[in-house]
Amino acid sequence: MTTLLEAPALLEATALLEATDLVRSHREGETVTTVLDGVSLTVNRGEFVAVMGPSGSGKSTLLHCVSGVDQPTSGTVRLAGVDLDGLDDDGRTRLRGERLGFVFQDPHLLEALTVLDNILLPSALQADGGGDQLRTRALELMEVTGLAGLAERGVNEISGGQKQRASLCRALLGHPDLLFGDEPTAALNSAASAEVVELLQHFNAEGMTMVVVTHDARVAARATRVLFLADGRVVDEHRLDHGTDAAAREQQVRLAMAALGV
Amino acid sequence: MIRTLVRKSLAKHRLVSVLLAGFMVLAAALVTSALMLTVALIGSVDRFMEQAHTPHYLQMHTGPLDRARLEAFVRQHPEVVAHEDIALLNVENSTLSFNGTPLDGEMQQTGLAVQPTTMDFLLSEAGEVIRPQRGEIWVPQYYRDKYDLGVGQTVTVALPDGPLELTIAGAFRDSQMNSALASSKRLLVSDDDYATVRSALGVEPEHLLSFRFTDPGQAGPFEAAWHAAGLEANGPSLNWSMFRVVNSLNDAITAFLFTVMAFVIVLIAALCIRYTLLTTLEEDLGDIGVMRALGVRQRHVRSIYLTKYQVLLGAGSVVGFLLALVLRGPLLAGVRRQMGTVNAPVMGALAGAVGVLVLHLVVTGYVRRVMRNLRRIAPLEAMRGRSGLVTSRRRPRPVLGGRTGMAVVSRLALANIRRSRGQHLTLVVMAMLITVVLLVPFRFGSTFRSPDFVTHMGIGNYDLMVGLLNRDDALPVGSTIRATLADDPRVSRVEVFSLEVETVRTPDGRVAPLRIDYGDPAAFPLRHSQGRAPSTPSEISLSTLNAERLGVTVGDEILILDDGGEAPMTVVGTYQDITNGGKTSKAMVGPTTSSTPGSAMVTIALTPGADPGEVSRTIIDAVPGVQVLEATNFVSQMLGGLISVMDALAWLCSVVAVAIAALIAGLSVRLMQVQERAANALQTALGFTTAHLRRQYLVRVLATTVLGVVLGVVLAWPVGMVVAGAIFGTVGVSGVGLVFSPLTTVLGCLIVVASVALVTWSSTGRGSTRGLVDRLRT
Ligand SMILES: Nc1ncnc2c1ncn2[C@@H]1O[C@H](COP(=O)(O)OP(=O)(O)OP(=O)(O)O)[C@@H](O)[C@H]1O
Ligand SMILES: [Mg+2]
Repeated sequence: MTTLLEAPALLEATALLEATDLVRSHREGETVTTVLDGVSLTVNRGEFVAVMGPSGSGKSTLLHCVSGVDQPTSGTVRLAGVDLDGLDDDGRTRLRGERLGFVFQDPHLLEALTVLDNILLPSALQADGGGDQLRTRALELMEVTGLAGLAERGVNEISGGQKQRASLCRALLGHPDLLFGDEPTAALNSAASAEVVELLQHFNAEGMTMVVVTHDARVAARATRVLFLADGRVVDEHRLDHGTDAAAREQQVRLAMAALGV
Repeated sequence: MIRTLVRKSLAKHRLVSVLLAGFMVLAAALVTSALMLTVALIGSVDRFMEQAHTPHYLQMHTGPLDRARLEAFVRQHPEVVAHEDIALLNVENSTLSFNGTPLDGEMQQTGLAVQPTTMDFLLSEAGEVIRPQRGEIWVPQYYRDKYDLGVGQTVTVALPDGPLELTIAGAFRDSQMNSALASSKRLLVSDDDYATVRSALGVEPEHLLSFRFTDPGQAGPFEAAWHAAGLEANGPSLNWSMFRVVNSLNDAITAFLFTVMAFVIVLIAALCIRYTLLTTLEEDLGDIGVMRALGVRQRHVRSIYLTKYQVLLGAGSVVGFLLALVLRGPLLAGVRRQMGTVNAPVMGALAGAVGVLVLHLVVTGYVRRVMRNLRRIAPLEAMRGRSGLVTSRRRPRPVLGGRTGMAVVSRLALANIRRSRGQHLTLVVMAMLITVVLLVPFRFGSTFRSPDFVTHMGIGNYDLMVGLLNRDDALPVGSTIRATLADDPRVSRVEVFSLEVETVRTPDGRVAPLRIDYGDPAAFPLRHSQGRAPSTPSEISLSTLNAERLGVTVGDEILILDDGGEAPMTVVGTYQDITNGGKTSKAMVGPTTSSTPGSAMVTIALTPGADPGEVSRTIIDAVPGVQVLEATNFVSQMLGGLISVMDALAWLCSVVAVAIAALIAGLSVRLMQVQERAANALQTALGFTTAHLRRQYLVRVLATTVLGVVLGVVLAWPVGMVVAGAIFGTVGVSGVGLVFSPLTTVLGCLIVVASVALVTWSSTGRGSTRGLVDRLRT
């Protein structure tokens, strides 16, 4: 933990995330399914990368592999200058806890805890004191994401969209260096979705690097770069010019999607 | 598809399956053994006592006997089928030696006897009435086992005109005195040798006035009539049912222990079944859910799991039963040796089979009960991996507050305890029961060993005792000993008690003999179960048996009849006594004229650090020929068997208890992990390391265990009291407070907690992301 924090200069100099030739295949009996087929991805500090692609193209798998939740069959992942392969399970876990935030495709909240406690859990675990400030910040985040008044509810007492926003609050609260979002707006209506995207962009502007999987062109339009995946390969990549207005960028994404048949 | 599924789950739980079958084997073997032993005992003890013609009533008496009056009395009692004055020639143990080793340290009183003619036969192990040849001696099985005596070895009796050497011809079965609980033992010799010893020593034998009736139950009325007629009775009296209890006690305790152990093991097996079954169901949950959604009927799913356990448990039962049959030899050998042939081995096996069948039905019935939980699995929930088998749907409460770091882990653990309260409650109850099982037997050990314990049994808390029984000079010798030790710095207190047999009249007009120990009751105080010790010469306290026999309670008045005069005595207390057949009483001052032959007892307390052996030698130098007993030997010889059984039981209990604690902890942590695999996967994804997860389980298991252990320590008091009542009751003692040993208690609790912690720690080692994605997917 200390070794990571003691080398900020090194971190500044290198890419935050560097994945090379990732292959992830599943073997079941004789059949081998290759989900990721040689994906390379570099994300620099401060970037907002959107990952798009048809269902089953390997977007979630890519996210899992580069965050150390899953292990690639081959290929290397360097996260914040650290080679994931050189870490054991607990090392990767610690790295996730300290540097990464995650919004899963399914919200995955703990039923034993209230909504607020769920949001606090990973940040409070990493923190050393200052629990009350964390709490205040969590309540602010809930306010912003439209979860005000739900703090003491049980997980089974809120809707799917609310769960997803709680899951987002949980990921944002710890101010991770790198936030992974797997369709964080999938369960939301367009108004709520717009607010969430606003929030993501706000944190990105404050320096949080983001990799977000989405099917939504309006979400992707907020990114600095859009990556297209199909059959486990990167098939297209677009840099979005933030000098132009949002509508134009959205149009650019839609065109790319149409070209790839997404 | 379901069949494949079950086969898969059986293979997955191979270790637990083997363990379960193993438990069943043990339980079945124990049940069968206990039942075979019981059946063997029930038949054999009665047959043995019939074979030996054990007396139905026996009155001991030392001194002159009016035979004409006795014969006249018997003629008036047609229920007497036979009677015999069986002589027992008591000899000092110091005059006897086995293979040259004197019998000095023996607590049992030893006497020479000849084979009686009408009853109380001393039988060979083949069941024959032994007729010893001149120069032959037969020893009781008790001495044979204790001193490892064999045929051809020698017993020497030291006589004034040279030793008499006798050759051991074998061991005999004594239906009356063989038990350690009986205070004397007899050696069987030929009429000639008996006569030689008697004339050489010049002592009168003790009379064992023995009677057999048309029915053993007539002993009670006969005894009352005997005392009413004022016949000789200065020793204790015994009856057939007492002999029966004494003869079967050891084996009965063994059978009882086997039953208790079988019960405990069945309980463990049931718990294991509960945990493994629930774990299995949890693991197969997704599949079960899908099957249910597709329309497979619940009964079908259930019957397949049920079959698995029936096969497993059935096999265990059969193997256990057969094992017990194969191993029955050594188990029944003891019974066979003492009781002769073992009664109805087929009946025993049959009873065992029935017992095992019942056992099997009970356990499979329990499996059926647990399987009913399956009904609670809703197909949709099951598909989503949520069983609701043990977790509640209660609303969570805020737990984190402002906490950070490791405190978060503990708080999450508390939230989980709250969420699956039932499961954690089971752990609390288990820890509680285990603690009770661990602590109670050890408390018995401490209690037996505490110097105070004997005061519950009619024995003062003294270090040395000199018994001066049936000798004309008992009181003068007692005084000599007192004078000898008066200024001895090693001695802190000497008291001489005069033991008299008086005749008393009870409030309802009955006249009966009563042994009274005269002396200062405050010197070596006894525990009184009611009232207190006498403090004035007109007060008396009675042993519980005597109080019952005389029909008096505290506050009543009895009259001591003395040469035409009557001295009223108020009963101020009752106490438990195991000496002299339990029939004694205590008063302060004796009558001026003491009846002959007199008896006395000198009890001596030593100053700390004094050597009892040296003081004994001082006494023997002053009064040659007396026997000085050390109290520690006294207790250990009388209760030695019981103490070692309790010790063995205590160790067995603690080992079993700790093993169960570990097993239960392991199984329940496993069940929790299976139930919470998705939650654990999530936590791992969010940065909870192995240490965090492990700590969570440690907090959950330890919090419940510690609570259970504390409750168990509290519960051990009342439970100990109840068990104490039952166990001490068998040696005729009541109202004993169990000794609380803080060290054993703390150690016991620590061991339980530590073993549970260790198992939890080691079974939570794998906090791996392997399969993490799969689990997050659900
Ligand atoms: N354990 C597994 N065994 C075999 N194939 C698997 C396994 N897990 C995932 N897959 C396959 O990998 C492919 C990619 O899955 P992934 O979840 O990454 O897709 P995705 O792009 O996130 O799709 P969606 O947009 O629907 O979430 C799918 O075709 C899936 O069937
Ligand atoms: Mg996906």
